[in-house]
Amino acid sequence: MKISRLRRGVSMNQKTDFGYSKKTTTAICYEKPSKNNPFVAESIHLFGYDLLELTKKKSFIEVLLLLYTGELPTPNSTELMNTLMIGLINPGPRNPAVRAAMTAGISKSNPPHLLPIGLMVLGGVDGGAAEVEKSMQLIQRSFTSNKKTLFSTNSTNTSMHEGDIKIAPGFGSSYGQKCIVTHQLAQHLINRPGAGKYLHWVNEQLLNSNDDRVGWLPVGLASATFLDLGIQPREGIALFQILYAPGISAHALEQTHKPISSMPFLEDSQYELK
Amino acid sequence: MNSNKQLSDLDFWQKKRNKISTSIGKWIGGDEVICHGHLMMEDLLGNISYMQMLVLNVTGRLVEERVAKWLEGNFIGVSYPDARIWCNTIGALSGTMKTSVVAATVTGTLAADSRGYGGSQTSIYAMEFIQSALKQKKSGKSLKDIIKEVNHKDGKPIITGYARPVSRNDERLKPHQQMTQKLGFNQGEHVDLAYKINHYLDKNYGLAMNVAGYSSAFLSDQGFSPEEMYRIKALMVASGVTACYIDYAKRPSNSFLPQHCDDIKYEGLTPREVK
Repeated sequence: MKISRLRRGVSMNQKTDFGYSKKTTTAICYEKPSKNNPFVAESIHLFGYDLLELTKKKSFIEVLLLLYTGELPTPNSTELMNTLMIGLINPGPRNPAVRAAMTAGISKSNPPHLLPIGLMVLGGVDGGAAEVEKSMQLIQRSFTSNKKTLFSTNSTNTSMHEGDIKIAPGFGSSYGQKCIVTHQLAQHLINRPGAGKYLHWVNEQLLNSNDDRVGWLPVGLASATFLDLGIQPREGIALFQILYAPGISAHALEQTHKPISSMPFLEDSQYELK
Repeated sequence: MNSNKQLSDLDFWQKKRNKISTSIGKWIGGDEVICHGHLMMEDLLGNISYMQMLVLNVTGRLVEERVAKWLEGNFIGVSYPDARIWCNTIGALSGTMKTSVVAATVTGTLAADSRGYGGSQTSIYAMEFIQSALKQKKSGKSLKDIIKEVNHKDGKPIITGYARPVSRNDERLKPHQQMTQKLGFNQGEHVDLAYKINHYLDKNYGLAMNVAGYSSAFLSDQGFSPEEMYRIKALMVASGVTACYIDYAKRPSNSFLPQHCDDIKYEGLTPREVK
């Protein structure tokens, strides 16, 4: 009885002001409806540019930056982004996000799950995409407040800390020392014509650091580069995930072709229950 | 830096190479599983509820059956099979793309890891408030001063768990209160304060406690921390998502709320030429 009454019942949006929009809105994409079928688009525009025209005149990276900034980038910005994307295309099989996806691959998870598994792990605040937003916000804030020092914490104070040192989101040590490859990539990026005020300023801050164990980490490098490209901190989260995605998925897919026993599984002697 | 010094510097990581050291538990293949000091096969399986098991794995504590029963009721209270709710929309959209049921369920659940709804992450804010409010009250602060210090918007305090206009009913609140009574719990000091806050907010701002406010106070009285509750409730909305997925997985493609191109309002730049 009650169920049949409720089926006909007054809904919550009739009781009070529902307050929700009638339509979803976007400034990114316009799909022009076909004259004969309103469900089908006859053309697609991204920030005003016709998609087909973009395919003929622009590179993938230019259109990627268009999506995240609303404008097509300059050739220097495109080259800077291209350099960063290659530099971070594969965080390597020891990175936790890649390892997670590889573990799923070897254990025969559904292949479409592999990339999302890696990206979800990559969502963390310690070396992951969520740290990018914090790093970008900190760099922006420090730079605009009279360029005060980015690293307010003296890393020597943390020398008793177990594991790695983090002097700011995106900056610190990697297994007790500077991350060598990230520093090499940073020097290459800083010398690109598209490198801007943020990359140069953060690099100066690191050069002035009194602790030679700390420096650029991938998150910090991506953050400073994103800021020079005009990308906002929240958008930086997703772009970082996109940058790592090829490496995550390629490593995971490689494992799917191997038997489950081809990855180590710790023996009881290697597992201590305290 | 010589190689010996390097090795000692790396001690922290060297000790952990190819070795897991933990106190949470261990699988002894073909024999038993130790779980937070309990024998899973001999003692737990068949003797405790799944909710007790979940709480044990999150907190390391084996809670009494009625606490787990209460939590289970709390989980039921967010298992709405209604595809309009955001996490469930994702379940339905996964159904229409014929995604796997696990992907659908976890993506919907992931969506509910939200500061706005879902009951898991929001537990942190609601429990932090009531636990801090009780400490402040005990140190002699008045309700007026406690409320004055929280963030306000348009002259009204913003407190997770107390955002409901008095005129709008929360269908979950009364059943939760009844469940508490039915399971024989006494009213604890957090719940007691929650009712006082409810009365104050109603009188001064026309706001009332919702189920999040009540649950957070009750679970604080049971000794849970905000972080523990976030972890316990991680998968809270899952079954409602699964229901919405199943509903649309069996229907033809694009059956879930198909949209005309102009159902999306474009508010961007007019067409321009690529140079």
